[in-house]
Amino acid sequence: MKGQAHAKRALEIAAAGGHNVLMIGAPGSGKTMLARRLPTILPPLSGEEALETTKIHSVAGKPGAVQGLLVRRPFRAPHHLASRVALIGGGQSPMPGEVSLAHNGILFLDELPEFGRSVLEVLRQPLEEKRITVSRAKYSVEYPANFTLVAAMNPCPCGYYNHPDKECTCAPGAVHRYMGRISGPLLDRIDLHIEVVPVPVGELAADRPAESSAAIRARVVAARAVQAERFRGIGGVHTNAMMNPKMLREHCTLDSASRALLERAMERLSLSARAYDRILKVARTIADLAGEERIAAAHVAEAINYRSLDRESWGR
Amino acid sequence: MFVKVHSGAVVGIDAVPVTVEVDITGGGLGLFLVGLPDSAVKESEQRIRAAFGNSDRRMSGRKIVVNLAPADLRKEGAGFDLPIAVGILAAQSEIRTDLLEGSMLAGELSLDGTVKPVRGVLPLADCARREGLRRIIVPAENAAEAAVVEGIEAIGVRSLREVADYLNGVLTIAPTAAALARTPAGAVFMPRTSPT
Repeated sequence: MKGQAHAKRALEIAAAGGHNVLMIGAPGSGKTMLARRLPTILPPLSGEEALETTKIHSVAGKPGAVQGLLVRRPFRAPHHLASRVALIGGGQSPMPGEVSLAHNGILFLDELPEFGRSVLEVLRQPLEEKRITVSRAKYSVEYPANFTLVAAMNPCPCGYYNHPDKECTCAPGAVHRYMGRISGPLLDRIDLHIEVVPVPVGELAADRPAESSAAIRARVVAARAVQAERFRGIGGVHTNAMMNPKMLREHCTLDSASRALLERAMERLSLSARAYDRILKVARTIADLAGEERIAAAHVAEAINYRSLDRESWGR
Repeated sequence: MFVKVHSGAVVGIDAVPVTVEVDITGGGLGLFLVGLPDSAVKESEQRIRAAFGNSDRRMSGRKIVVNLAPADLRKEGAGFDLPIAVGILAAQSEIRTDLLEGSMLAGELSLDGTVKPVRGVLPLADCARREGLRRIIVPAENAAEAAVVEGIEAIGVRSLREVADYLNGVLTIAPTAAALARTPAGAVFMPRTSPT
């Protein structure tokens, strides 16, 4: 994969800490390609994760499709016409949906604004709780749904808002309305917002080799090992993204410089309390990738940098 | 004669034990399936009758009562075909019960007597292990899936005939070994309706 250093760095952080990502960019800028390459830098499933994920595929998959313990993380990419039940699970005789089939892996939603609004809103609960409960009059069943959300979208209906060369042809207000299809609460739950800018032709044709997926994967695996050590003995928590508030206080202590930086950012960008927590988690992952025990101001600064949609006023 | 066969029902992503009880007594005719079966389970009578016919077996002309216990749990799908069929054969004294007692069974029957794969075999195998059973007898296509669970033998079978021969000690089937797999169903991509 050539170019896109900024986006690749963000996806590396997402893979390392299990953080949700939204990629925003013009048609052909490589959003879908980036997402499809993501599995190549993901660490393998650990024993406990593998058994749970395999169970879900055993219950929901084609009969006889599971031919052993799954070691690769699932990558699910449902189409945007998917119904709520298809995404979340349920039905007359309940079945796990896409969010559960993506358990311990990636749920990729391409063309995010094209998904029905009610479909997107039902994602909010599993994004927070990491599981989904299907209730019926006589019984209720629970499906695990600990997925990393990777979403991609164009910046506007015509696709060229903020494009370096092309003119955006959208009517006034159209860009803002387009962004408005993604609700604030959903956006709030996405840790990393990245703008994917088209790769210049010169760079595409260049012979300079890009960093291999294996090299990135090695860093991701190392960062996951740090997290596994950190959350040893705590059931159900494997990544920084899954930390609860108590763990957050314990593992994400800031020095005075980084605290001041974060507080300034909070004020300037009018970030929510949830965004604050999420920035801390991302900063923790960035520090883990750097092999640092303490979170430094540079890590916090980079994490704040990935909240671009809170910061910019698209289409206004 | 009265016979019990171990099976299970999937609830969520785990399975709970279900006992298939078969009793063949004197009076009346026909097969009575009780214990909250859904329509796919009720239809199993027709599949089992045809499978018996095509496997050179006869179903008793006496009254056969099949109870799926616990009776308050809804039973879904065709996975009970195999345990019910085996239970009937055992109640007719055509299958020995010594191996059967330590086994869980699951599988759908085809009219010609072959066994077809079912969903949720991994949770069932896990349930069988928790119940302290020695082996799980499943369709051959599901054997690798059942083998994921350690501490229990996964026996893959292809037909009703094979199951009967295996349980009667006429046929030996080696347990399937555990394996690692790639993600079975990767991305689900449908045709696009909007430009990227």
